[in-house]
Amino acid sequence: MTGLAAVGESSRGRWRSTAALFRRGQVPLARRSLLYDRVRLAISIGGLAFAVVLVLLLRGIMDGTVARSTSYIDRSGADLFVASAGVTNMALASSALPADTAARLADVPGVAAGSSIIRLNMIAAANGKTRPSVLIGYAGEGALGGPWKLASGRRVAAAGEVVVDRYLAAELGVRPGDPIELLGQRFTVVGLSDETAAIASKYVFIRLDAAQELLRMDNLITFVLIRLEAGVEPSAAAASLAGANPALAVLTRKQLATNDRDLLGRLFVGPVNVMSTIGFLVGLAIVGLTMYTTTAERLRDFGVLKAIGAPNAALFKTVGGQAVFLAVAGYVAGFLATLAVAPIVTRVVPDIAVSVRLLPATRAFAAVLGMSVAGSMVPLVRILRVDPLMVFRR
Amino acid sequence: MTAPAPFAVEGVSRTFGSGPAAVQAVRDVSFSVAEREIVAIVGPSGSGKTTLLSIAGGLLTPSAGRVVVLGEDITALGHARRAAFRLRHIGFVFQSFNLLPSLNALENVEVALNLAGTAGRPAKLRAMDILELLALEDRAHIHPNELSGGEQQRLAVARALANRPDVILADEPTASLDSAAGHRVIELMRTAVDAGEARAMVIVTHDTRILDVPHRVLLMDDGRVRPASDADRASLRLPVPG
Repeated sequence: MTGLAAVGESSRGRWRSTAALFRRGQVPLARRSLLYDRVRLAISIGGLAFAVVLVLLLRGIMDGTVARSTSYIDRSGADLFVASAGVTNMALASSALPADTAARLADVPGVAAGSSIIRLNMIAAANGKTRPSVLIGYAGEGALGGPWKLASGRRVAAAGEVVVDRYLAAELGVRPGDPIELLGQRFTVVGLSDETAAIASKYVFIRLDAAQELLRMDNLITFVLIRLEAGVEPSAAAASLAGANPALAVLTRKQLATNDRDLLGRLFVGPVNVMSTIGFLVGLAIVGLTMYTTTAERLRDFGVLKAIGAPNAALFKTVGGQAVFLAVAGYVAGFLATLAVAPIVTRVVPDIAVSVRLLPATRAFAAVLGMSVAGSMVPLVRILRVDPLMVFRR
Repeated sequence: MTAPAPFAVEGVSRTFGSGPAAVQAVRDVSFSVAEREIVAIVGPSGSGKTTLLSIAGGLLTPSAGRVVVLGEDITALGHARRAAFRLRHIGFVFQSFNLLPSLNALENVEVALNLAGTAGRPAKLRAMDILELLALEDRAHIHPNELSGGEQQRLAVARALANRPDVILADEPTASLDSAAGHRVIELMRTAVDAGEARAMVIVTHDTRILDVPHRVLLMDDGRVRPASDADRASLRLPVPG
């Protein structure tokens, strides 16, 4: 090619030249440059991975814990939940219903069974220790609302008996046969329930009549759990029941679980966002510092590239390639570390569940990519200001 | 019609600063280099050699005059076009090699080809050919920090030759090398020009040991360039032309 041809290069020609920089089969300058100092690369990826773990784990704890907080609703076997009018959640709402509500609703067409429960947040005590818990008074064998899985022992059969969540029992140091106090009244542990622990809501189950006596709620209950006949559509049944009983709130299992999750999610979301932002800023600082130091040390290399005629696009490509490489490596390492750490967190703190879901994980990847690109801006500006004449300095 | 000289510097001057503090580093310099010709510009430190070479390579804009490569005034080009021109038409060899330490020898050559739009197998084959020409084929996968000084400079020459430039501009290419290694580098550079890998070459140096290789020697002092006289030749122990 002659000089004239090159000088006369049109803007289309320059675009073609730029596009040529991204052809396959080129020397991976960005990757080579990062890999040249492997210790620093490992530290950078480790730091970035730490930020990713922080963000993913916090989000995972929030999602997992919120999801587990509705395990009672999800596993109770009820299709509909009936409460006082205006009640929209189970976690924090106060509901009081006449004790015969379940019997009245059981006669409604489409209702297969109705069970009363009393649900109340309270303190359980044993061996000089106290723990917050959720008391469920249920109607006993065959009724809805009792423990759905036992780790050991049996379900309650008498008024003075209690089934305690296995993790709560461990915290209080009780086993089947041991005494436990609820509101100052002594109960005997007869069984330990499984999958009934969520943050600040570990369940204890006693008989409904014992709960009414304990709480002095004669002729009162808090919720009615309804199982529908096969083929009955829950939302239609809920609307029908609520229409016929204006003093009642009737929610489907899905509605109530969603409402509870939203409520708890809102309580969590502020602190989690603050922590995630901190994680993001930590990651940004790591990427920024890595990119800056890598660039500062290699400034002469960029000067050489500029001197031999590398277009700015080639320099963008190199720095951008480093940012993307760091982002992908840091994210993959962080994601895998999160998957490895999550079961350990759950084992150490049983009332915490970690759920790493696709959407937050994808958002975290976008954030990592964003922070890498943002972190590469400062060195990029420095590179563009490099004077190619520096190559003549000895 | 006569083909234009591959390379010409016409009335180039360069002044740094202004007013009483102004320094004229290059003063009205003109010379041209013919096809397959190697020209050496010899002068002491501070004589303006590197400034002249920077202008010749389109890295520095002259205060006056122009640099013409294959009939084209590169000083009239904008920044981006001048960079694109350098990439395809000018090869640089620096005193301090300026190799990319994270790339092996082959990749150091290949990257120059990649930047000019050649990638993949053609780039690898071309890079390997050049390494063979400079007797570096068995060092292709070695990183620069594991090469000797002479090998590093030969590798820098290989990179400069990668895109078959019209002119090679070499700044003190032997200053960091011992006599034997320096001579070998210069011999190989001449071989490359003879083989048509570059159309012309300008070497800026104060190393008089290598002046038997260039076809022509110019002297530079206080920013001015002039042909070497017989007296200069005698003092520099240059072979008599002809």
